[in-house]
Amino acid sequence: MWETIVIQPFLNVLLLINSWVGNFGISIILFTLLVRLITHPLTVKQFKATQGMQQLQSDPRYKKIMEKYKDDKERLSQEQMKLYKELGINPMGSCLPTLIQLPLMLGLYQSVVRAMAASPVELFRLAQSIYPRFINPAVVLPLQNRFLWMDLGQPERLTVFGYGIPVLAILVVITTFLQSKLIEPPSSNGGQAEMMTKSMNLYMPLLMGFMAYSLASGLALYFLAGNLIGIAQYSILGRANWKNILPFLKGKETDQTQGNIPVKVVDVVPEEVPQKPSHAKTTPSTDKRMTKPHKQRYDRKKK
Amino acid sequence: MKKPHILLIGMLVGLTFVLSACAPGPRVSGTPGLELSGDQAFVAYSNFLYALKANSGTVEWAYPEESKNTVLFFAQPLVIDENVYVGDVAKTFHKIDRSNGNLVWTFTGAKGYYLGQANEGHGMIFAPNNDGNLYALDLQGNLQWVFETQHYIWSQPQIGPDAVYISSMDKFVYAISTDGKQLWEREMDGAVVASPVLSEDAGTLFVGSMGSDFVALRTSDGQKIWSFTAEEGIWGQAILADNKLYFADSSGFLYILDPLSGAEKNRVQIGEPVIGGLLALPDGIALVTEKGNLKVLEFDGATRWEARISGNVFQRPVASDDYLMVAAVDGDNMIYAFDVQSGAQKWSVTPKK
Repeated sequence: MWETIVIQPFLNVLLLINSWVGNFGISIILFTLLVRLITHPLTVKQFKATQGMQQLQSDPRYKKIMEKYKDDKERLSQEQMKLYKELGINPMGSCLPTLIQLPLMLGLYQSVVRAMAASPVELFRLAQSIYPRFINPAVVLPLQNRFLWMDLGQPERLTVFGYGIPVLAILVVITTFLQSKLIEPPSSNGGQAEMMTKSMNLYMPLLMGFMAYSLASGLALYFLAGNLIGIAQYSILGRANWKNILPFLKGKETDQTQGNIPVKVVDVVPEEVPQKPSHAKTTPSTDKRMTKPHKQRYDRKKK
Repeated sequence: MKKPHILLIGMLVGLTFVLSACAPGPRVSGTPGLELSGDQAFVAYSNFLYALKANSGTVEWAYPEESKNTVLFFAQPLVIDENVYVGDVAKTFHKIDRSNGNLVWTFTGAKGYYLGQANEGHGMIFAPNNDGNLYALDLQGNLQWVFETQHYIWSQPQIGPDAVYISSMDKFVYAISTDGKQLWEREMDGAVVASPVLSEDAGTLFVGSMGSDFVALRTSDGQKIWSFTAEEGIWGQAILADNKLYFADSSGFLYILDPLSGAEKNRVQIGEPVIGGLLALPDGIALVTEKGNLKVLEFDGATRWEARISGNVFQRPVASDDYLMVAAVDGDNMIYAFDVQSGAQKWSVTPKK
């Protein structure tokens, strides 16, 4: 079932691409790109759902519910559900696309493994999985396993001055780390979820690197292509948090924000601006929303 | 705080093992390599090379003494005199004393797996490798020369009076001088899994490819004498017997040709793909299908006896005066021994250390 529905079609598409481009390394990259494009709508959906859930965390109503019913789990979940409904948020919205994508990613991985047949028995089984109407096994098989300096059927090492350097494994570690850092939400409360994310960001690149180091380089290439395409995807969707890996951007933005405060506040309540401390946390947008009575109340409270 | 960390690490390690199939060693699936010589059968599979008693299947010895995760044997062993030669997937080629399983020497200069059977001639051992190279070693295991092809070599080199012939998965057949220089090359329609076959006078080389073409080549210059197109790809070695040429294809046909002209004399429907090739017997031929149908045929293609084996078979049968043996994978047992005359099964065994 899994073989017929997932692996065989994937494998045939991969081999078809290979019959066009004639290079298995490029075929792996194009195939990964194709699968990512097909699953892009799911990725967008997942991003949106995740974003919705993140915004919800900072919603005052959500915080209020959490505080009010912290000792009554049942009521808490009822109230949460009510709020989800009211705000049109599906709490499973970020999980479902992932659940659908996971088997596809696994299928992608398995088809790449299958295509790199390195023994007669593997090649025979690969030949049997081919749709002969679309692909001529005699022409396509065996796949050309050389790509750049790599033998795609073997773990990759670039020999420099007699030392075998695992370049792909290093690139996989770096790109996995970058990818996970880019999608890491801005630090909030230092809670358990955040700690888990941080641990994941640390261990995942190492484990992916270990796999890239020990498995055939065709798979390492697939990991690398997947990471780079993922980073591009997040960037296009505006979900890449570049400040997490380029700290000077954070600094710049903070400077700009601080510099903007007086200008923006002046627009709304010019007479109050000089009294504000330079480290005031109130954002310009908050001030913008303040009407005069609000502002007066705010000032009275402050006094 | 520690618990989620442990859980997370556990999950990631689990995922790693699932993706890497729980093995830190080489990732390659192979089938048993079987050879029969005198009263001993040699089986190369997984972590060991086994020597079995041909009459009972009892394990006499296993090499190496301790299994290593990274060392796997799938190549068909070569037995010459008192020694067994076999390569592993850890890129090492071994010479082993057949009487006790002791290591004589190893050669570690290859860059890929050994999956094809080696051959001996001109005072050298010729070892084909998955790195696309044919390694020529002297009988002490010293490298003499390397001949490079562009893809895996799974076939056994054939030894002529002045040359060595090898087929490669790069779709070429090569003639190499005994000092390692290329004499000629001939492109086939597909990759060549099958070992070539030399005529008795060493003047003609016969070989088939996955591209369904079967050719007779002049060994002096590689020129095509004749060619024949089969129904589907040819994976297994052909044989010359009773002045006829026999080979089978993956569509399940056995072809009987005139070796001089390539004219088809007969075509027998076997019904299942034949991947492992054919074996010449003194009074007939033997073949086994990929699905385990073992057949002994008369020279005209008529069935003398047949037996069904549990498992899949990717290597041609081997025989001695008394026994016909087959190595299977994914079946009830690994090695099946039959009486070569009657077809009665003598024993079956999965060797274990």
